Amino acid sequence: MSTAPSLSAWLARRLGAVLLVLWGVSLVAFSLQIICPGDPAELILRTRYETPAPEKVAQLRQSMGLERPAHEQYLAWLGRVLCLDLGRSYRTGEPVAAQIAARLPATLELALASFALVVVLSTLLGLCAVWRRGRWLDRVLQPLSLGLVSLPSYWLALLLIALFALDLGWLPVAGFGGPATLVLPALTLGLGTAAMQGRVLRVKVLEALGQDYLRFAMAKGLSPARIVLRHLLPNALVPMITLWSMSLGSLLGGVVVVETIFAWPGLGRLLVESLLNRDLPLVQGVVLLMALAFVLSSLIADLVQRLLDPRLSVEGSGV
Amino acid sequence: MSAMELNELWVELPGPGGPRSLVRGVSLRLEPGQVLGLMGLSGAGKTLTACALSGLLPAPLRVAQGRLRLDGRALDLTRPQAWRGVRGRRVLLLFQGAGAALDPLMRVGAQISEALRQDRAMAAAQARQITGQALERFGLDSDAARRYPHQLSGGMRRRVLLALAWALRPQMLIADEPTNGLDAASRDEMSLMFTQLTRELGAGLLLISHDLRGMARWADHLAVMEAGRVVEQGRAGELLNRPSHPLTRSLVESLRYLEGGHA
Amino acid sequence: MSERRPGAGRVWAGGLLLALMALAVWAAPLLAPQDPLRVELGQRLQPPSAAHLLGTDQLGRDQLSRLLYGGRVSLLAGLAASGAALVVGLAWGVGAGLAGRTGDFLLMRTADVGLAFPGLLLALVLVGAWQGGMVALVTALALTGWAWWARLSRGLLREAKSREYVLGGRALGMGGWRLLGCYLLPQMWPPVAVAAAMKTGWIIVALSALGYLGLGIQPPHPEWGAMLQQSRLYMSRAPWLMLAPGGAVFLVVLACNLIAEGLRRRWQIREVRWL
Repeated sequence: MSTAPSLSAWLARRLGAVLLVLWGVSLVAFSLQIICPGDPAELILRTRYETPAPEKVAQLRQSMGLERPAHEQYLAWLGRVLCLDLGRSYRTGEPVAAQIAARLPATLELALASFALVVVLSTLLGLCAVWRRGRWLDRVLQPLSLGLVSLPSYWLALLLIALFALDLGWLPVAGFGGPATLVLPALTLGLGTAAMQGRVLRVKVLEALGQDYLRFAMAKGLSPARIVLRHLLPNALVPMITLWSMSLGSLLGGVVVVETIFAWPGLGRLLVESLLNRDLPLVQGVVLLMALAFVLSSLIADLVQRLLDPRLSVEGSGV
Repeated sequence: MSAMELNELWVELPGPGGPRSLVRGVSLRLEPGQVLGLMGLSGAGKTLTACALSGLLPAPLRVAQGRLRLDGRALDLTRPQAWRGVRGRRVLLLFQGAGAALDPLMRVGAQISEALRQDRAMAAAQARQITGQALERFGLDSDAARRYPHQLSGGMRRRVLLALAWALRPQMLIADEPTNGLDAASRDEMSLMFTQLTRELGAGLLLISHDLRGMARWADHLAVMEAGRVVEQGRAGELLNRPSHPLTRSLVESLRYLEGGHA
Repeated sequence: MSERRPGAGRVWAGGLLLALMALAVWAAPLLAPQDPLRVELGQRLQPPSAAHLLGTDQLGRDQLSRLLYGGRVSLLAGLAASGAALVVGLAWGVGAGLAGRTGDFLLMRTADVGLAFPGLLLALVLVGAWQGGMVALVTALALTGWAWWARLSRGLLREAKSREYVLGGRALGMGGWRLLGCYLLPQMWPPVAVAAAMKTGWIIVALSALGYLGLGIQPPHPEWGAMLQQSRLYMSRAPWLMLAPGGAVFLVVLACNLIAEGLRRRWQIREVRWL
């Protein structure tokens, strides 16, 4: 007897796990302060071009609460974070939350554009390969997609820039502005993932094609159109939708490099800049936000899969 | 309804050394309302015959030759296009393991209704009604239609297939090992339901099974296959009492052994 | 390709490619025509020629030599990080799979924290914060990867535990360690091998990505990612500069993926599902 838990019970359990994980993430983010060599107070003074005289450093340390024991500092920090106060940048003194909010839209734009690209392109690649299975298109697409998956995004970016921006002059080299500037970054970010998902889609559709329920649908006398639309596609798409939901999170990972190459004013570039400037609060803020987004996207992916597949959500007594 | 005749079915497998015939010139005759049992050892070609009779041979197998007479019309089995409009309406194949062949993402009732409405001008409400009747006829309760396949036990899923056959009313019903994996009592029950369905619909049932006892009990006619050919065919009673082919004789002997005693 | 063993072609192709590259970078002192650090301002940004097979960069340094020496670090660090992540993660996951409910819960929640950081994020931040050398780099990358291995090995172990022959072994009274060694672990090697090939390629890309961002191995020691980043600045004047380092990373990853694909076909493992 296999009983699937009700939706609310399942959701409650998952949320509990998510909260635990986020707590762990906060620990990691906080501990960056500890592993970062150097005195934060000295750091602040240096980045503001002030000489770190010992009295000034001590004074600053006191006001920042750096003399208190670690766990007290952590709790204070966590309390602030939960109130959405992410501290102030070492370098500029501006609130971190405001800076992050300012840069967020650019990253969202890039992520969504890449996501759309991933969905469309992977579907095309996967279905093409199945439709023309065994013929030359499929034979070419297989190694081609393996090559695309192996292509490092930063190299792909440079090649695309060299070809489309410098050689052909169709698209701008970098920068943030109209839709033309979005093309190359989105392409760079999404192409590798799209190729990978296309391969998986091909496998899933081929699997679905070999399933008995398709044969049975034919035996029942259903038209090919109906079989494809009502039986093949749903069964192939359910695992795909889960994968797509998960790829949204992993696109976040590639955002850092892509934004740097294309001078895209988003969170990824902010992170790299802050790391090079040793501006810890900004780093912590971005890390927290990205981890949160990633964890939530996995949760949504699981939720979506659960809602789409009755075998996961509806109580079953069958074998 | 008139008898259904299969003439000279040849199924071959293309290969590097030329095509290999796996079904050689099989001819069968099915009377309406009667059960024809197809027996033989594994690999004799029974399942391939069943698949060919519905245009569902797995690639790369193909029908080299064969005609099926249904309702006065002859179907050329070598042409896959012949099956549009015939499959599901005049011929229904319940292939081996079909109990697991229900789409896991669609409710059971919908899977019957969609077959009903295909190519027939039938309103959704009417299809639902017939589906409900069909499921009840085979002992499934009224909200079985709204269940998903994984919520039903194996036995219940097989009854869903019976309900489908009842709803679609084909002239020829082919059942490949419908009682596989069932215990003896359930086997008898399932065979009885199949037989009753056949008589009720006036259809011809081609029953493929390894269950010798069941065949002996329920089949009206029997055909024995070996290595792709039909080696003996006739009325069940005659075949079982006076088998002429060596294979038939050994099958009948094992049947006697099962029924008679272990002396 | 019709081979008696499916996938053998890919494994051989990938393996050969990887072996050639490893050999080339290992023999860098013999093969490199020049000192990779030698600056020759008179020879800046030269296109490929007989003297400099891959041209020179903006400081007149020979690209080929830098490529070979840079590869030593990339491959070595990549292998070390991948190996460390694999060993730690595997032990962690197997431990979780064998532990009771609480042990499993605690171990896997901790691994979940490791998995909560998308892609490069954790390695990036750790390297940026530590500012150490090679050791810090390898450790940071290993810390990025171990959790994935833990999740994978736990899943594989649980799957293996439920197989019939394991139940049979237990019915026969086989002890825990024997069960583990004879039945459970051998089941796991094929998917682990496939995943190891894939992940090694990924780690080498990550390593070079860090180099590109200026957070990897520090100059003047050559590194593929850093070379690529510099080639960006001179793209219009010297477009050939970006082909060699990027191509090198690409070939290494391609080789790893070919091996993974080949092994997958050989052992008919379904696509690894976790992330």
